[in-house]
Amino acid sequence: MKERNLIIIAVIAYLALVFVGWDDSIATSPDGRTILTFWHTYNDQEEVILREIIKKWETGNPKFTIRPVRIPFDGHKPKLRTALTVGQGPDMARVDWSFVCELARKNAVVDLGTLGFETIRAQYLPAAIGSCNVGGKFYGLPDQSNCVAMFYNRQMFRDAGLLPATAGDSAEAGEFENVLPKTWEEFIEFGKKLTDESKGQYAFAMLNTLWWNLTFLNTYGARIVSEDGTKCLIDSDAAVGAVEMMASLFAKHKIEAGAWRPGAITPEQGFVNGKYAMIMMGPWNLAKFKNAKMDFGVGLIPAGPAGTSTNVGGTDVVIFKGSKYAEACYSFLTFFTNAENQVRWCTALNQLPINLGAYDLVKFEDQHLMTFMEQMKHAGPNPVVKDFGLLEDLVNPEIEAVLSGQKNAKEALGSAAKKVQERLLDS
Amino acid sequence: MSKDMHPGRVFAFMILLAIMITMSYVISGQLFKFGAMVISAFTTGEGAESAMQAGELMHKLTPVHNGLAVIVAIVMTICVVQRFLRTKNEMRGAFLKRMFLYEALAVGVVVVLFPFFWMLCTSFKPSGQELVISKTNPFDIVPSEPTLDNFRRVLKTDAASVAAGALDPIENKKNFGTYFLNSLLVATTAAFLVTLFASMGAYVFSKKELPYKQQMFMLLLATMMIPGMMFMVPQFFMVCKMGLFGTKWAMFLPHLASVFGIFMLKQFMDTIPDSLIEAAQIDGASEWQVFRVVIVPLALPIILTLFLLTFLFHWSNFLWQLIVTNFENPLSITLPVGLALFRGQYTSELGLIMSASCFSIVPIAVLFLFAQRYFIEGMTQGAVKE
Repeated sequence: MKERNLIIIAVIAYLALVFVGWDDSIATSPDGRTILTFWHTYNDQEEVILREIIKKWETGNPKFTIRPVRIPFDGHKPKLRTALTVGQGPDMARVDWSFVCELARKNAVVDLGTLGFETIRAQYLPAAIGSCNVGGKFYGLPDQSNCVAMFYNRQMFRDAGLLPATAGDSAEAGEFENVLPKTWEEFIEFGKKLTDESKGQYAFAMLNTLWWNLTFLNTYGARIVSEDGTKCLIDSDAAVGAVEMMASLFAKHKIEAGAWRPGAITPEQGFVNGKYAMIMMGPWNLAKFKNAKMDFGVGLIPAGPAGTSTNVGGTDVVIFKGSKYAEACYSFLTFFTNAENQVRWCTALNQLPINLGAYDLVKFEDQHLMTFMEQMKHAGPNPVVKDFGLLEDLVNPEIEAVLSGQKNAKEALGSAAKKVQERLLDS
Repeated sequence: MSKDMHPGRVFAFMILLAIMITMSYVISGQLFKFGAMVISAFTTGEGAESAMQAGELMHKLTPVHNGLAVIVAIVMTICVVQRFLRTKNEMRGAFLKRMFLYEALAVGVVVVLFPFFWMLCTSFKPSGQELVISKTNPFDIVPSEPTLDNFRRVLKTDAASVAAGALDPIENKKNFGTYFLNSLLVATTAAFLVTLFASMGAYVFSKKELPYKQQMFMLLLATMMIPGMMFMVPQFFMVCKMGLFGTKWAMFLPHLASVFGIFMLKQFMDTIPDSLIEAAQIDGASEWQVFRVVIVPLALPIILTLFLLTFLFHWSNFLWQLIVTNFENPLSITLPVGLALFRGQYTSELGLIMSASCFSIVPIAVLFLFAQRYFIEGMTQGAVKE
């Protein structure tokens, strides 16, 4: 009887829930303006500034209204793929930089050249705009760009005697930057002094994915694919040299913690807990590290034979062919990324500008961001392929085999080049 | 020490007692500290400064929670020692075995519950401090500067969200409460319907005579070999054509026919004697009455197991729900999809994810608590062959 009562209560509760919450409809306020849907993946703070810029654009374009719709970054690719398949896609969207090539090859996005992009192309950061270049045509424009630089735990530098015990506060950042390693050779020498295996402390920790490894490869001047996207170049002498140096940090010099191995302490976690003295990281973690009350500094990536360099991350915005209002979308996206709005965006959100015109206008209070801006100028281009995920899947295991000593760099990269050529570039 | 006390047993007792004292002090210490942390977080306001104030308050409460942990350890020690001394000499071996067993079980409980405790503690940590581990005691995971900001942001009751919500009522609906309610509706309805259809299907396959019944069942089982991903785009296409895109129906309609459910229930129903059904039919029961009065009550443990498994599947089904969600309409966003909104390109808002997860595990925990008897019964059905 008791159970019967319980079931009756549960059924009544469920029916009440259905009555209260089933309704799917929601009130919208149509005001006669044409709606342009913009799918994005911005966070709460970014969305506030986005809406502010949208309002400004709508003042000059009274026939249109932009509807920003936030979708999760984690699922934005399958969401867009399926929505486009049944014609439910938006007018424009913000996508990961590596997704533009796939969308262009599938003929889903508008070639911006037809809308007059050539006249303003020079405004954008060359390394960032490179990800939108598919076969010489530009299918998107960057809206946000990132790169990685070297983060240093200053306390560990002091403990190792590499920095005077008195030096420390951010006011003395200049003094600190002067002592940082400028080349990979100096980096290794620093590393030996910072590593104390008995305490589980290491000078450096790195991940092993192609995107992170581009930093090493770019300092050696290595390229993954040729500019026309037809030939894999990952087995070049420059790339072999870069990977050999990476492997030596772990196996020969023993200054790298092996953070790339499954189950190891990640670079970020080891860094905030004082286990790793140096890690490569992007500006997205500056606020987090500050909140963690860390004493850290940021410097340029040590130089290889091709000088200092870094990778490029971030997102691009694209216009879909299904949109009837491509010109209006283009007008909004160029407005959104012009120098004036970039200054507003970057200073409010502490992000790096993608418009070169904004570079001279943006002044950050946080000196670390100025270091990132300097680093960004030396960024190398990303490989533009139709499936960057597959490229990672083909290359990462080969580099891991080098790091763990199962293969030498020449053999592993030769094998990777063959697979990439056959399964990605020629297919 | 009395003469009849075995030195080996006393030694074992001392070791077990030391382990028990350590465990009770550490565990109760963490729990009392957690309590102090929750009180500190609740009594202070929003923002980084409030977190520091909460930290100061917690610091002041340190003697209280440490003292309580010591008291718990002392009380437990006295109880156990008294019990040991009262136990007859010949029973002391069994006493020690039981004590060892309880300690081993306590370790098991700690291992199982630790991730939940970590989740709770992380949800109170300010942004940026989620991964910071205490230098003095790595096992001390209770935050030293607690805040309720993560919960406020998740429920959109923080100052910034309230201000933004006042401007745009649709945006205001994009909060954890809406996602939670949507998921609850979707998962409950799906679990109920799947269980209903699967039990009726299983009854037919198990007890009714049909031409080519075995072959049809094999064909159904064969569909389990095809990965679900293969159906995703065609199913999405159909859902859109039916005009259900962005509705709650779209979230579960394509998954109502569960071959796994039919298979699981049929295997169980095969063990119900046909004579029971015949007896009911002699008494004049209709087909529906046989199903309702004989089959369902006897198969209740396995039916509830299927209900629970289906509920869990729909409660955490990310990819399909993401695809059919209309993000312009917050009333179609479910929990797994809503949680993904806290993850960015390079960073995850770990504190927000953990505070949302604290709520999201509640229905599963409640459901399991009520149905665990049937669930365990259902899982062990067929384990013993008689």
